[in-house]
Amino acid sequence: MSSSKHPDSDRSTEPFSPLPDPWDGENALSNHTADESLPSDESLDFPTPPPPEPESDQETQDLFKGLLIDLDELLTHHDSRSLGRDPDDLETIDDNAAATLTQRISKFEPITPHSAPSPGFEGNGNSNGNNRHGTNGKSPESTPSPTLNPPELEERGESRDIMDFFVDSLDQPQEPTPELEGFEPELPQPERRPEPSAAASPVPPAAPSAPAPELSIDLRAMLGLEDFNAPLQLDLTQTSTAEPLPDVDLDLDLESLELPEGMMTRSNPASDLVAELADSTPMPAPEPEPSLPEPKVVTPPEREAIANSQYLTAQDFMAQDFTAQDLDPEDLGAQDFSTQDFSTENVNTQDFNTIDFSELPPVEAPEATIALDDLELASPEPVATPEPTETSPSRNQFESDVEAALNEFAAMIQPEISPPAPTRKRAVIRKTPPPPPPRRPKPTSPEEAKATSKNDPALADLFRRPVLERDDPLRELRDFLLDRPKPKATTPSTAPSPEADVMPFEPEDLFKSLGLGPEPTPEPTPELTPESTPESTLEPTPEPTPEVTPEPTPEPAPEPTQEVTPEPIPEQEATTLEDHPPTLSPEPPPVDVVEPITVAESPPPQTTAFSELEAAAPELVPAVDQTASDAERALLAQLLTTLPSPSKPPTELDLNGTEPEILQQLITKVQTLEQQIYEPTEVINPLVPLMVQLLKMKVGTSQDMVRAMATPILEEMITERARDNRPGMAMAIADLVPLAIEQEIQKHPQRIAKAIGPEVAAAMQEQMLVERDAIAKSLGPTIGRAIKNQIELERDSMVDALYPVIGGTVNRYIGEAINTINTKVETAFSVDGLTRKVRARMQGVTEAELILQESMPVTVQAIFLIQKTSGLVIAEIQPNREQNPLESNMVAGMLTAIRSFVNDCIAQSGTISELSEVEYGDARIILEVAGYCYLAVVVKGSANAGLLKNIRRTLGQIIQNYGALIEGFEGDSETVPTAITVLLERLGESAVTTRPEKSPKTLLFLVGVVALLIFMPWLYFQVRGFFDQRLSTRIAAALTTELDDIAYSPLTSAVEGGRVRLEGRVPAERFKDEASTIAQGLAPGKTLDNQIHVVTTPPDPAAVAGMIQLVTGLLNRNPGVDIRASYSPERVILTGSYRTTEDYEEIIQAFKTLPGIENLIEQDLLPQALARRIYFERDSAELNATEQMDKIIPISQFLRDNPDIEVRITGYVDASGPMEQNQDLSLRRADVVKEAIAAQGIDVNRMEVVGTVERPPGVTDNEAAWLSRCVRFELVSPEES
Amino acid sequence: MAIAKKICLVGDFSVGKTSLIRRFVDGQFSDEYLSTVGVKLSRKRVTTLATDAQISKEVELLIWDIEGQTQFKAIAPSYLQGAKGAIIVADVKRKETITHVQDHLDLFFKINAKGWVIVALNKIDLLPPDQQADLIARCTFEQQHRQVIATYSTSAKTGEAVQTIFESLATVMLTDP
Repeated sequence: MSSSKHPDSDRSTEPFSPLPDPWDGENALSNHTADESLPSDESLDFPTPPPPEPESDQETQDLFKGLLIDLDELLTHHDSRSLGRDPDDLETIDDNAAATLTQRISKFEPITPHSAPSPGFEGNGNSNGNNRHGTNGKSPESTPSPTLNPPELEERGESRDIMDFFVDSLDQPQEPTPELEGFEPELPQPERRPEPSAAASPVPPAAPSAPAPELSIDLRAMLGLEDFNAPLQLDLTQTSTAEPLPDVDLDLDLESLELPEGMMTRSNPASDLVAELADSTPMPAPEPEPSLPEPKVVTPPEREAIANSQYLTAQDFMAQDFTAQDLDPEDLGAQDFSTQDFSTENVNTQDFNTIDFSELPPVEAPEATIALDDLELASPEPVATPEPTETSPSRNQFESDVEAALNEFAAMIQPEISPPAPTRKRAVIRKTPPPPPPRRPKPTSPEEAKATSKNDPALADLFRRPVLERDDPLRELRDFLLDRPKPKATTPSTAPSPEADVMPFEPEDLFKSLGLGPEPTPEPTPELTPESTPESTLEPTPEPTPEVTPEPTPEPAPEPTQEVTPEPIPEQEATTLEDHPPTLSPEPPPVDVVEPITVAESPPPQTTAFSELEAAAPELVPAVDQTASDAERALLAQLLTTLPSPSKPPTELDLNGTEPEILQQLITKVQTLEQQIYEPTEVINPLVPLMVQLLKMKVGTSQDMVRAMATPILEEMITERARDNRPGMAMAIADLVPLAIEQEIQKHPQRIAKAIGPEVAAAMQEQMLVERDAIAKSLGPTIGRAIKNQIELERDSMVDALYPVIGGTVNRYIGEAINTINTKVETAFSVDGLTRKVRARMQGVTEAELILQESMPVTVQAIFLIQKTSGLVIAEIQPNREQNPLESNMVAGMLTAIRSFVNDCIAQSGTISELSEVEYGDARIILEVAGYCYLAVVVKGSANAGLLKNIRRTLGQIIQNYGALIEGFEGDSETVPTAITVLLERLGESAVTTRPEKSPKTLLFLVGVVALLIFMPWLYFQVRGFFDQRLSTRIAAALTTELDDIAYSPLTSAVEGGRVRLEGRVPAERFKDEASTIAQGLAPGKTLDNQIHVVTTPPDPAAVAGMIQLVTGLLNRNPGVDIRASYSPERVILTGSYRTTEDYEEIIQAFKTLPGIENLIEQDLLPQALARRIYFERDSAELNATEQMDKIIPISQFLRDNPDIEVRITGYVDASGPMEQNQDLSLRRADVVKEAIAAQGIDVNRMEVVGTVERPPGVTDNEAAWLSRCVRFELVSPEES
Repeated sequence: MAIAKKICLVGDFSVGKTSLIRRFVDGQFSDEYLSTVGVKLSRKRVTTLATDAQISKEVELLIWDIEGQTQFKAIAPSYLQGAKGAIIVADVKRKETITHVQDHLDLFFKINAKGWVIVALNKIDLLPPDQQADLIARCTFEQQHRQVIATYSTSAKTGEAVQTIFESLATVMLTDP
């Protein structure tokens, strides 16, 4: 066994070796080197003592501070160094760490357990020195581990895996573990203590060289790799580098605290040694061999001295197996490391699971230890621890115990998967402590590594899952808080617990070794067992466990748990790791899950539990102090067993069988713890105030960190909040929304447009539904401009858009107008048409105008009676505007104002003029003004004179009747008599009836009468003419028949009324008369107008001349008649003489009857007597006697005979004398003759005297003058006279 | 039809006559200055304040917004004819408009011997509060004319006393014709 253990330890050491580097963290490789070189010195120099003391002193305060610091660290991920130096200087640290915070956080979550927690906790819990120590210690530890690893590698890859798990869960513990392992294996082999120390010492040195490179390689490779193994390794490496050291430091501190306490109290002598041990425990890494063996040896001896076997037994099987002392120190170291691991785990475990496990393990571990070792074994440890600090240690122990118990539970769960692992793990664990970095030991053993890796992630997942499922943020915070506090609390507790844990670890290791290398473990166990009964009891269990463990069967689970439990710290870690695997394993997972969670929650309760534990602890402590008796230890073991018992029946039962009472107590306590765990409020409540403070601090110190933490969940927070309280969120955001939109619009108008665009239409529609007029009102003013703009831009589209409307409107209007015009045209030739033509002609306008005028009849729209001064309406009617009435007072006021304006501004001053008409469109306002009022008549169409007359008459009536009222009108319409309105209405009606329709009948009648009057006379005359015509034709016919032969031209007759006129020419009068008689006969009642001419034809001159000849001849036959007749056309001149008148008569008659003789000249036809001329002498008027006698007597005689004859006596002269004398002479000659005749007795009256100068007829100039000097006689007809 | 009354707003140019009417009738105000040419008519129904002698009635106020008097153009007297009441407006920021109030009063009472008048000192919002009281104290038109009902400081911008001047004027016109 021992041999096997050794190799295991070696293996474990190897993987561990890399781990420490990672823990160192971030500085991994360098740390390793440095660690290797430095570890011993620093570890020795700085040994825990200083830190432990203060911690021990300030337990509670430290707890708080530790919590805060841990939280900060966790959040900030400070390096152990930075953090470790001055927890108070968090801010400064934060600043430094700020950059790494995020990384750490990121690490935290995924790999949390390793990197973040461990360093932080350690750093926080411990001073820088401690950290350094830790680092130093780690490196050395790591060094040993490598040494161990090679064998392990050879022997078991799995162990490495397990170790990896441990490392993962417990980075630091690994370091110690390696030591422990190294020791353990060594111990068993050589002799528990000395051998381990010696072996360890030799091994580590060898290991360091090998492991270091491996680690470095691993780390590097791991860094590159993120796979299960890789991350783990990386984590381990990193964590190990960074964390392991701090963890170690913590552990060291804790140990130192515990140890010193224990040292101080119990092992005063060994106190130095203890301190050294504490220092050395961490230190051992650098130079594990000397330091480790020494401290370990020392410490165990001290404890052993106090309770050697007890320690051994209680702490671990290892202790049992090994010599108590040897085991103890180792255990202590292992415990320390384990505790450190736990703390680191806790810290690292960012996954609370790890923490939980770490926590659990301690509880379980003690239990397991108890179960395995015996109460005594368990008791001594706590006792020992309590002794130094009593309370704190006790608490620590209790806590550790509880944790161990939990670990045991976890182990119980774990076993399934772990079983094979545990053995290896144990082996590994021993080695692992160095491997913590090597969690990757897995890589060493691929299978196991896989399993472990799987386990780890699975565990992490599981842990995370529950956490996440329940209360992720809170739990995380809690976990952080808890973890940190735990580490502190635990750290102190761990110190004790580690002891207990260490004890189990060792036993586990032993078991493992047993499993692996049966000899060492079994051997020690039996050895131990004999020493301590419980151990023996434990031994058997462990043994089977390893056996079982190799067997995946569930049974092994308890065993491994036991084993794990025995391995308080490392094992616990291992258990935790194992637990993780179990979580992976089907069966355990549920339990595990529950447990881890409970554990996670439990931490706070742990505090409470701690109190209880403390309460119990003192008891135990005194017991230990006083006696440190096995019984007490047994009791403690029982208690511990009882605690795990519920979860671990088999072991518990086995253990319980020993002491039921204690078990019951433990059970009750466990139950209370469970209750507390299950009732998180109790656990949480005490932390609540801290939470706030912590959060405040955290926020104040590192905003980036908080921001980084908060950012991932911000969305969820907001959505969640929005779901819970929508109006609240809405109100909270409401203020920002407009501003945000405004900003966005300014920055990215297009994006806003794109976002809003699709909904604008819908929004407008919605708005229109809500408030119908709002959109129209807002758009209205711009529509006109928009249309105008659109027309300018695209006229055609607007035309097309409006065409249907405008076309229709225009068409309808034109159609109506054409219809009216058609009707007018159709009636153009009607009476109206004629009259219109006449009117158009008379008015000088076109007929079309008249037609239009007629087609738009006059309508009165409104009539207002308005007070002239105020413009108020007195009365109004609006007959044709009922649907859209005018605002009377406004219209009236405006009209009044216009009137005033015209009168004041336009009309010339001094003249009185009135606005009489306002014309607009086809309508007009007729204003008729009187004294105090005026009528405004709104007329559509052209007003006619009749309307104006009506208006004036109406206004006259109104003024006449109501003038006073109108003058005093005050705007109250009720005072206006209705009669005025009636008058106005009548006016309106009159305007409508001014154009009555005239019927054409009268006109037709008149026209008929006129026509008749015109036609009748015409007809009368026509008829009368007909008859007249007929009569005249009859008369003409008659005349023709009677007189046609005679008449020279046809005889015509014309009847005119009552007159008959006859025309024509007839040769004789008697034919004319005959025609008259004929006509008169035919038309008796009518007056006869005989216009017939009688025509005579001229006689033949030759015939006439002949006839004259004849007649003359006939007459000359009568006696005494001598006549001559000369004939010229139309005249016959008779000359000659006759004797008697009878003769004369006869001659004249004869010629007159002759036809063709119109003029008969008979002057020269004288009787004989008178035919003689009396001649005178020259210039003498003396009658010659002879003449007297011969001529005078006969003449006188003749005259006497014919009394009735009168004669003219004419005197002639010759041309010789002067004219005047000749005149006188002629006249005197006539007188002489007359007197001579008168002397004969003839009446002078019968004679007429005439003188002339002319020649006498029948005398020519050529004839003798004497012929001219004569007197001649002419007959004077009676008529002439 | 309710009782109708013609009232005139008289005052110098740009004292805010049109703005007062717009505030009263439309409830709006605009800083934009548009000179009134001739006369502008507005109409609003007002419910008179109930007094001891009379219950509240509804009056249709025909408000004649007469173009303001300028240095070169006097108010056309014919526009004032038949007005039962008048609001004579002055601008508190222009002293001369306040001094001209007396002229407007004389003109109005000369044409309408029985008319009622309210004096409105407009644009009071432009005057610091401490000066307002002082200004009002110095304007004692109602003491000089029995028919001047009161002097108000108004603001068409804020609407201060706008409703009051019209309502009180309407009330007095109906109550004491």
